[in-house]
Amino acid sequence: MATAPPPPSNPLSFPPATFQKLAPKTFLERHLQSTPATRPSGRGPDTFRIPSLHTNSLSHAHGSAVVRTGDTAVVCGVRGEVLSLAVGTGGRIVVLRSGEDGRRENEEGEGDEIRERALVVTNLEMGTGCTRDYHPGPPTDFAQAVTARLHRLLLANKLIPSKSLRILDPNTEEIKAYWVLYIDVIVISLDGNVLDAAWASILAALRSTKLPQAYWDQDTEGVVCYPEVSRYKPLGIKGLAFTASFAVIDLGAEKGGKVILSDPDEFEEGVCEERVMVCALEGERVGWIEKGGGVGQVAEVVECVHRATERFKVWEQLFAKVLGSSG
Amino acid sequence: MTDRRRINGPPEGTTPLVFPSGSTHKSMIKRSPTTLRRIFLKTSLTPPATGSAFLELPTPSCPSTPTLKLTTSVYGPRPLPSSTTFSPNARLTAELKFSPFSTPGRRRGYIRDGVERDLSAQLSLALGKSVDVGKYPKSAIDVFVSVLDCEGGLGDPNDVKSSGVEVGLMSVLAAAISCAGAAIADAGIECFDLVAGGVAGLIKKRDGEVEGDRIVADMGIGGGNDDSRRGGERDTRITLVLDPSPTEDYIILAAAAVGYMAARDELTLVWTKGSMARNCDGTDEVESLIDGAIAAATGVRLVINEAIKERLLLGLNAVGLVRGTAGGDNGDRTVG
Repeated sequence: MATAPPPPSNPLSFPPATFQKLAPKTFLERHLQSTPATRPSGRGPDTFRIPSLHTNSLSHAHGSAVVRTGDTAVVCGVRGEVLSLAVGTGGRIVVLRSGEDGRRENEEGEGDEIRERALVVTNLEMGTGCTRDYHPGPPTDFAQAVTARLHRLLLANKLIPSKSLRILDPNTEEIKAYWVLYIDVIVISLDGNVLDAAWASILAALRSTKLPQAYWDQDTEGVVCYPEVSRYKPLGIKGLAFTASFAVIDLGAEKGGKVILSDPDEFEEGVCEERVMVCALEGERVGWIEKGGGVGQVAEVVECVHRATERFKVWEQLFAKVLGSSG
Repeated sequence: MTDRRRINGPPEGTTPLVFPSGSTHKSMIKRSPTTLRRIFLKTSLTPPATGSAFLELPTPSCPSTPTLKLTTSVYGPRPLPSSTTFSPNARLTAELKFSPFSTPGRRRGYIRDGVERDLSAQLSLALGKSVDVGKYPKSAIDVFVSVLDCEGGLGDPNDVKSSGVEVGLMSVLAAAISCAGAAIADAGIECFDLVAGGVAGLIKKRDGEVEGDRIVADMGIGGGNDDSRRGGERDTRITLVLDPSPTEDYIILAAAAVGYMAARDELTLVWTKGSMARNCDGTDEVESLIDGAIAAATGVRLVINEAIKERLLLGLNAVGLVRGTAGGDNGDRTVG
């Protein structure tokens, strides 16, 4: 310090950054008690960060998306590889005629092949120097937990029609192989709420994915793809689903009770113990709710659902703008 | 060996795609042998990091043409863990990782392989000498590079075959050096100089096709006459090309990558591949290759300078020290 700071009137006063480090919870509480309630980032409690989306910027992936919400940025790449049923399937050959698709595409039959044969492989990589706490190497518990949640969400929402993953023998219409979709999410920059950004990037990447047209070649007994880009086909992803995450902090009864923070950043995630995640579907429906870490009223969850449906509209508009009618 | 901490594919394993003929969609940007490809470099795109940079070679008209994209984040100087022994200097470590979707052919796994370890080691060597490590005792400086997309030519078994040496890894390394140099400067770590990476290659055109419009004799940076060497085995169609792209349709006879500190005129890293001979006029092909790589690195250095300067002015602008000097430009710096 070149100049000595003026002698403080109160010996226990700190600059905001020091205060934030020393007493993070009090720091957040003081912010939320101001009128109007403001978070350290300048957002209101119910304000989400504005998302941005780019698709198909990677050359070796079949579909890709970059999603940025505030200082959280993720890249998702989808890559298809072929699972051949001809060898080594250990008697697990399931013969499905494509004529049976109509009957098997009910709720029951749809996700089964994808789940049973592990045709969708979701992974989240945080060891990229995205934040100071994550180092290269095996994924941390947190990364594994987020990966598992993303994978569950993807399977539960049944977005990928299993029909588009089948590779048929052109003559007999028999299923000879499957597409396996490797979905890899790389976190470039992490400032909280990686789940929402990662999920949106997965959905956008899947919607932009175009797989080559593949067929079973009897001569080589293998799957061969047409190289023409014009014959690449989209996956036909059904519907939209968007997650919205919240952190809840209890200020105490006399100070304003519980405050729900939409789209928490890294600092807020570190302070708040109570979390809510809502997956909103089209038509203001709800597909998935997770809540943990605190005791709350039902009204709290209802408020989260309300905010999640609002957030859904923001994502929907962004997807419509970026992906257009192809999505 | 399965990775139990990640979700793995079907236990039967999957195979990459097979096309009846070779990959078809490829296009290249026509440029003269001395022209570098345009570079997009932007710093501070990873705000949680002390310093960061993003480097991209622009995508040509055809979107499926491979290009190079990588991000670097730098953390530090931060204290070494208490378990480590005393170190009077800062310890610089560099980690380079290819994303699973970044390479052609087979999907890349998450576990670091030998290629990545090799590139990481070379990267930390190239950067180590530029940082004033004596200023930061008992500290660690960590550099993380993530390759999001690369051009291929890595020598992988499933990669597109090209006769001659593979320059893909060299391009990746040179770009990683440049990007990491910018990120270290962005982190405000004291340096002697900034390192920039450059690649040059001696190429032989396939079927006598002319790729560029100038040959090495016009360039004035090494080179020289290539004729009548080795009994005509290497003829006049050999050209020194700066920043060769592995996707372009020519045979690369030899290539060199350097890490170069332009202000001090010092090399921090030299890596050559392929066989190089002595010219009849006494100049070495090695020398002309390395001179070419240095010329490429000098061009990249200008881009780094501009990217850092712009960020600095932006910061000064924010605190009100400078008014109206930075703005209107989104950081797209080009050379050529």
